Amino acid sequence: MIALTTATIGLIAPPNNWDSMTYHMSRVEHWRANASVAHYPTNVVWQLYLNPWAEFAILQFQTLGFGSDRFANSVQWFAFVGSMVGVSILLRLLGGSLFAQSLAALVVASMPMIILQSSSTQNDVVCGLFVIAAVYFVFERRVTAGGTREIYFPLSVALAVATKGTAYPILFPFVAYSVITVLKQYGLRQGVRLAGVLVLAVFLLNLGHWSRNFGLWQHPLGDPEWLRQYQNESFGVPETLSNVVRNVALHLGTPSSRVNASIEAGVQKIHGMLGIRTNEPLLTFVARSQIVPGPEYLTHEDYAGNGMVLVLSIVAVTCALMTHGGRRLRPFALLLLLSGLCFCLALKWAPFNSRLHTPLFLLAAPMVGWLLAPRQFESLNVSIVYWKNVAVLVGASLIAGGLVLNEWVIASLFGAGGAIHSGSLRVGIWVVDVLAILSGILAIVWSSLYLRIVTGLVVLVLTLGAVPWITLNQLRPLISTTYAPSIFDRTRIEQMFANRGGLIIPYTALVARLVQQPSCREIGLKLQVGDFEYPLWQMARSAGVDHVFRHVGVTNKSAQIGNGIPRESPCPIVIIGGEEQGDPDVPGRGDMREVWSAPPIRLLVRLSPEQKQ
Amino acid sequence: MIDQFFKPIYPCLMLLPVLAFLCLWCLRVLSEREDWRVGFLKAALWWATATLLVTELLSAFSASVPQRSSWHGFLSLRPRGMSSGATLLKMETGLLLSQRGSLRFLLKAGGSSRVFLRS
Repeated sequence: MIALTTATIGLIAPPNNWDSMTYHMSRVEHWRANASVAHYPTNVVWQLYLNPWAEFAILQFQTLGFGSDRFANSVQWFAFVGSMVGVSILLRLLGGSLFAQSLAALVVASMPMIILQSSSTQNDVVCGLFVIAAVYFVFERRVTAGGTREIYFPLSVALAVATKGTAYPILFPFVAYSVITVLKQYGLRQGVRLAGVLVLAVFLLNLGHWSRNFGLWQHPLGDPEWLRQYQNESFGVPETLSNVVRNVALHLGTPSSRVNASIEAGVQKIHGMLGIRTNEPLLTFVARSQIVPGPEYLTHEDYAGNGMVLVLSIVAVTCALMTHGGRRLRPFALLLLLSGLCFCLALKWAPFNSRLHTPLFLLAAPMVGWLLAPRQFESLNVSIVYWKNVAVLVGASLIAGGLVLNEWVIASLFGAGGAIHSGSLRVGIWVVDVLAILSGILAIVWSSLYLRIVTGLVVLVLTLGAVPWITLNQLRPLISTTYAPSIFDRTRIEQMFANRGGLIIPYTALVARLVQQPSCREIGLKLQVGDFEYPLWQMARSAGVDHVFRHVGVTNKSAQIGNGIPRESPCPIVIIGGEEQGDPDVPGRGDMREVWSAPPIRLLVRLSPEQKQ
Repeated sequence: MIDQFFKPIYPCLMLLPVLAFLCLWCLRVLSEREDWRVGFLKAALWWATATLLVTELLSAFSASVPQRSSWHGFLSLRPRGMSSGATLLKMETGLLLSQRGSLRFLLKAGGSSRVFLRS
């Protein structure tokens, strides 16, 4: 149900997150216009050097749809479904029961960040799918080695690397483990063979992108200036601890500002003890005054946290390490910890890092599934009587929770002005309270059914817990909210400006002007990093003209690529955000004059010879 | 007129990559007798690899985007009374040829085609 709902959202809503508007989808349009994925002059270098696989897939859909972006969101959705399948078989390999596998898939389906991203054109879930596949084939090798299967692990690693740079630190422990275990189990020859195939696959599948980057920046991964901004510049135990704490804190945001303030105070206190500022530039890519995300970020696909899954993951990993949970589960738990540590060691903190944690959370899902499945409890050789006592305890807790967390208490904690104004929310609280009390009574009265009750509750909590993120996605809400109207109440063009609603009027006015010049196919475009480009392409297409927007006035290294607009072109130039950035001029085009403007957009046209005189 | 006739069919082309994945998945499950979930994962990896390689290969010849005019030329070859299913099949064939960036496609497409090569 969750997957079907997000699929519907992805098909109805256009790509509309900030990254998609500035580079994910813009690069797809440039590739279509150039009939090539070669680098081109652009003011936004992210369009060039960032790993391209997800956009390649979108390019296929968009090309076959003659420019329609209807299926653009489906790439992430497909990865979402694939991840559910992937984590379930990974847990099977790790020794989980069928029920535990189902729970692991449900954990994936109920994770806020994954729900929000599954209907977008980001690439974190896609990267997560390939990471899950790589880890699956690492452990599969331990069961059945050799043969054609050897190709799948290198392919998965190569595709993960081709999709997102975060794959490097996340996969590093698993790749090292794979090579070491093969060396230990099958000897030097097999180990060298695996390493050779791995290097070859990663090199071949990434050769095109790396060579394009190398040609421009003499670095296979892209612009060294930007790369330095992502990578940690200071290393040590306090620095790593600071990154761990801040990355964990990103998932601890709650609807209560008071609770968030307490967590924030804790983060600040820890940093005081470490002697590091929370916004230390050597460890921070983008600074934010508050480390813990506020209530306004809870359903935003760039900042939402997976708090519940994080807590369950920590418990699961601890249990697996301390209770000898399984022959393969223990090394997996250890590798997962190392993977998270590598992430914190390699990458600077940023407010949107919770999005980059997606592959790590996908890897944690099998652990949570294992933790929550009752059969796994039984296999721990703990007395059944003990668990019956736990059932009584859980029952009592549920009754107490149902009685204490009533409407009035919740209102005083979280409600604006100490009251809950939404009638449906009040009814919802009462329904949950009654259900909790009834479940608690059932758990105590029929303690022999405790496992089923606990399981039912887990499934209920996971499914119901996912509802806010399914329905209230800040950029693509199913239900109208204070942030935005429902996706059913707005056109696709309107939805593209969900992040920056104030731009829709100037963009519409600009396209209306450009449409009046259908003979000018290639329009010059000068904008700053972070300005919305993609809506221009789609709005022009919707208006029936097939304009191509070529970047002009490029000042970065991509200006060396000589396939921009000729300087003598009679077509207009659009400047976005120039005045605000103090960079209004377009070098070498002094004979153009401004004919129209609607902040932050200006339209320049070339002067005729008469006008020049 | 051709454009009007075929406009409703254009969106179906976007389903071709999905069909390709489903074919790969079925092949893995039916011919290799694999578990459906493992088959899904492996099919996804092959599909993703093919997507990457096809994109890079076509891009090397600046042929990653067939022009609409080429489609029209190709479609104009259809005999009268051709069933819609057969038409779709022919479109798919044309797509596969165009995906290879092959000159054969353009020759088949007839005189109205326009080679979209950027030198």
